[in-house]
Amino acid sequence: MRKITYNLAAAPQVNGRAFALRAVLLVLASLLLGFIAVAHQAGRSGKGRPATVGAGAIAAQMDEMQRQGRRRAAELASWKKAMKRALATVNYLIARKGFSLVSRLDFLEKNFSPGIRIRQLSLANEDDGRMRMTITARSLQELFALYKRLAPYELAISSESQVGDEYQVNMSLKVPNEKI
Amino acid sequence: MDLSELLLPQRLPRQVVFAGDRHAEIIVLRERGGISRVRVEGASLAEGGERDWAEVLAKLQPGATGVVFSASPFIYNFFEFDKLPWQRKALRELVAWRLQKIFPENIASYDHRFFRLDAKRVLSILVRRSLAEKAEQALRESGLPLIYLGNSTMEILARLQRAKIRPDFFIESDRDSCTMVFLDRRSPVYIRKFKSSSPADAVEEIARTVTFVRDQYGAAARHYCLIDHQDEASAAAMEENLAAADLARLNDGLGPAPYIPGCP
Repeated sequence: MRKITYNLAAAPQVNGRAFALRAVLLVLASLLLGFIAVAHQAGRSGKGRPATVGAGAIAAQMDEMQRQGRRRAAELASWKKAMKRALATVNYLIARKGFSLVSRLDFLEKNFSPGIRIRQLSLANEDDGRMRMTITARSLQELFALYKRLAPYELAISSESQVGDEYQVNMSLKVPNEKI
Repeated sequence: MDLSELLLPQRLPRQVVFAGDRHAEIIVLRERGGISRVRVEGASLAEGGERDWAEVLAKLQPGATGVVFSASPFIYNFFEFDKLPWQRKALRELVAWRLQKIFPENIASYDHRFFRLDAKRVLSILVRRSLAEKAEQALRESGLPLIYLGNSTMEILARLQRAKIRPDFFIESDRDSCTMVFLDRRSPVYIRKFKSSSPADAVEEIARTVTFVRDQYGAAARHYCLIDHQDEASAAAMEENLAAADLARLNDGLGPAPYIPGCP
């Protein structure tokens, strides 16, 4: 329980001696605190050198880590290069494996109307290879209709001639796997 | 204790007037530790009789003086809250609010002080402003500086906080009235004032109050201190009667006038 001081007097007096004693004690306590603070600060600054050494060690460690990082990045790049070649080979093999002559012949059969005949056909065994062919048509309408249908497949007409009542055309087009 | 009280300790008077029931006592603290007492019978200073004041003042020596009233003019209340605010201003508002709810008279005409007892409880003390004003005026007219105006119950309580003995309660007995303060670890938990027509009535009322506190607070109320403002004979008679009610008196180390501030 706190100390009870019950004094209703309008003009209580301060105990001079007790006040002086408290004031002296307060001053002494302040001085002691100041001394402790100074001593503590001095102790801290004395410990500054080992702290610098510690900071140096940390900087060296960081340098080492950066060096390791660079070395690993270079290793990764060389790995990527080596893998790229292997990857390209694998992709090429997959592409060859995925190339379908049958699908391309089906494509031609679907798009060519009955009045058009294929006289000659050459196919490259690769996805981006062009199909070259020589065709004959009995009517211009059928031929133009064919051109229209093949236009999205990079159609290139190298020659077009009329022989008798037939039209003969040399052309090439490109049919990638994904469009079949 | 406030910081101001800690840093600016109050000077205690060497000469104190104790204002009891139909008597006053002038107590002078001697340099070597003893005290001298002059009793003025029939003086009712708490009732503010000018003739009584004049009779007492005539016997005072020049110098800083204190006046200590008995418990009669004071009103005590214990207030319990869930939690007390730390800020003094907020606590004052809270206690004033609670007091307004229970106190029927105009609080402005009373001096209200309160003491934080623990984390939840507050002891509030009210006394008419006119009581202090009359005392101040009487001493001012006599050219005596009044530096202390206290209350005997609070003085005894403060002394018991420092005493070696730990009574369960103390009794402050005067001619017409009796005050009982029950303590738990030196902190007051219950205060009762009552008027008594005879010593036998007072003892009976004390025993009844002890039983009440035992039942209500579960406190072991057996050991008590007795401060009798009459004489040793009356104190001895009360002690004997209370012993019959299985109550044991402790009074070691309280000094000859524990109700006087600074008394050895």
